[in-house]
Amino acid sequence: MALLLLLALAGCGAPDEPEPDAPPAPPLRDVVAARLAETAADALPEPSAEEVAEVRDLLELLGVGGRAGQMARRELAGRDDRRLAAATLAVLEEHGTPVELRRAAHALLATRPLPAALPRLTLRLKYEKDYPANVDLARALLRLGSGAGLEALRGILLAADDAAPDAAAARAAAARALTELPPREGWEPGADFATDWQRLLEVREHWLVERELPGAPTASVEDAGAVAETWRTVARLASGPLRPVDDARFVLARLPADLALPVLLEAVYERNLYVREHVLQVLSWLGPTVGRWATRRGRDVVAELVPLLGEPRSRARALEALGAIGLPEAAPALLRWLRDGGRDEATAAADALLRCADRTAAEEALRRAAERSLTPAARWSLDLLAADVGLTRAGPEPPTDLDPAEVRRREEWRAERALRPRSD
Amino acid sequence: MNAARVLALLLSAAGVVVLVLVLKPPPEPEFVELQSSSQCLECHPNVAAEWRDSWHARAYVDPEVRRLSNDFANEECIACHAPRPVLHFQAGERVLARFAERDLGVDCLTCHQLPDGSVATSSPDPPAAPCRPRHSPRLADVSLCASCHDQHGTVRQWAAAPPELKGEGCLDCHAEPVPRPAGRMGRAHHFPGGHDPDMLRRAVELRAESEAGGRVRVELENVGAGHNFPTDERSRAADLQWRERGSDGTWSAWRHLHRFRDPYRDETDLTNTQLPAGETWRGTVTPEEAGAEVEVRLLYRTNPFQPDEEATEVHRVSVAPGG
Repeated sequence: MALLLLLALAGCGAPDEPEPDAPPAPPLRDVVAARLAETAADALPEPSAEEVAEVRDLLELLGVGGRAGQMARRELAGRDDRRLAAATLAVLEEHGTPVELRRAAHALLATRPLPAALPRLTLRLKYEKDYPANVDLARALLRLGSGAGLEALRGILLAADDAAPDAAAARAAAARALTELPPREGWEPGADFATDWQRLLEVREHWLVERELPGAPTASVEDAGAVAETWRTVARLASGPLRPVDDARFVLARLPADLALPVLLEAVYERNLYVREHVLQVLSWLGPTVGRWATRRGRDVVAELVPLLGEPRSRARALEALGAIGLPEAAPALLRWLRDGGRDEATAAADALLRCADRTAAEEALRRAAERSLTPAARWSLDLLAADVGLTRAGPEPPTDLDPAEVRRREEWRAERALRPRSD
Repeated sequence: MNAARVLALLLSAAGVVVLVLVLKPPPEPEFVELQSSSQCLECHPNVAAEWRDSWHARAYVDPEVRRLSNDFANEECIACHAPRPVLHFQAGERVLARFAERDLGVDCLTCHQLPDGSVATSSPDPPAAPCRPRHSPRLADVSLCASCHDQHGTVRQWAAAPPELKGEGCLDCHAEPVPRPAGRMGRAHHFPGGHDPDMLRRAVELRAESEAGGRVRVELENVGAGHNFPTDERSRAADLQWRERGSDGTWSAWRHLHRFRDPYRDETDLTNTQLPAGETWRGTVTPEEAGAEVEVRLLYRTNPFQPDEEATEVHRVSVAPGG
């Protein structure tokens, strides 16, 4: 017996160490499934193959002109907006749809803008290469309160690529489209191209920073159809193959803030890891736009995101998003992971602090960083932060053991500190 | 108690102590949870040297990847070029990007770190070590590679290939067996693929022969890839070209015959022309001078715009004058 006891004791290891003081797990739930079910009736209908073929034929007839064209126009005018938009989008999304048909489809959607079409139209910006089609696409988006197509208009007007099909006509159409920009006092649309161009640059700049059109209504959560299609876009983030994920991220990063951000801030609590991951990623891409929008709308976006730091598999992405948003009040929640996190988390925390910390948080970050070994990337982020808030000399030297692209990425983040919603 | 009994008791006690010492398992070294693949180098210098020579090691820093991904501004590429440990995900799930030490690309922890921080090995009876190696059958399973390499369909192509043309898994062709310390057989960590000319040569067979009417019949057969040729990224392309020698003895310029490639999604005018495992592409060329000597070559490009002189010549065959 004594022998057995001794043998048993000999095989035992050390007692388990106490659990570290981990933050509580966030309340994850099946957000996307619930929202898809609730909004199903507002989403665009799924057109039948016959419906798509009919719309395709009618669009072809529009190009023929004459009596056939007039007949097709009348037929299309009599169709239900939602069913027509769904079938027209299906024609556009079909692989290999000829360019003439795509032009006709975009022109039709520009004349009958439907909020529910906004996310799928936004995706066309990624794949549509034809100049004239892009002009009508940008016009449709403008009418739906989105400036996502302004970059395409600017590109067409600047392009010296006369080899592109119908480039000159597209430039003329793009110039005309500028008259549809949101109005501003003192600007007379169409009076001369120079002031129209100036207005394009103003509106584009505002769109890029705020994801809204100045002085014009933008799509928002009030548009039930747009919201339903935005949730459908979010659902694609769960895909195994990356292409649908990439498409969804492209769209979500280009929707108006009042439409996308309420949806994204709810979707971060989705149970599916991939949805959480990519929603946080999109929030990071939008960065200070999220912080400024939250400030305008009176939302405490930091408090909304901090609980996600309690989810180990999403922690690094949540750290990234909290930093990218640029609100200095996020810094206290980030500091802990600089010292206690694994390498991934500590690097994400240092990067995030570079993007949001004020001088006080920077001092604390440097103190905590001294207590452990950090990756070269994390060290470089903290060096840049210290320089930016005046704790060290202005021009730190990048670590020689850090990849040049990683050096540049962090220098860009330092430059973006000027865009933060609030200054130090 | 007499002396004999005392001695017997003492001997018994000593026997117990000896037995305990003999049977007690050796103390496991103190666990060190690896935070970086650079920690692996100390104990595994040979494996690390093989890996350093691999394209896995260059996954994040290779200039061509940087160009094609717009310097990783296309963030979707990062997930497979600097992934978190694959074994932290369920089999077949795609991986997500990590934040630290991306320049190490697809590194030791990518394939070997288990969710509890210990390390996966294919060895069924791993030795005790601070990294706490554990046997994991997933390490040799195609699902491990599929997390990244099926994004462009390679593993699905392999699954659909004729059984006689494929091994049991990715490692059969891409990680040759090598002896490791303590008499154990392991797998080499070079992972040759499309950048390896010998691998390319084994993948396909090029044939050309003259036929009636002065034409030359050309065939390319996928005999050894075990999946499509070329495969994986859409940027990969393989081109058949041909040229003829004129009666004055000079060679014509190389002429395009066929391209094997899966086009990007926005190349709406193109279709997938990759050559599946076991299939043969057939075409003909007609020299301007009947009976002229003809050469056919196969070039492999790591991107579709790569100039001929930078591409890998996989095969070249000649058809003698007059057939």
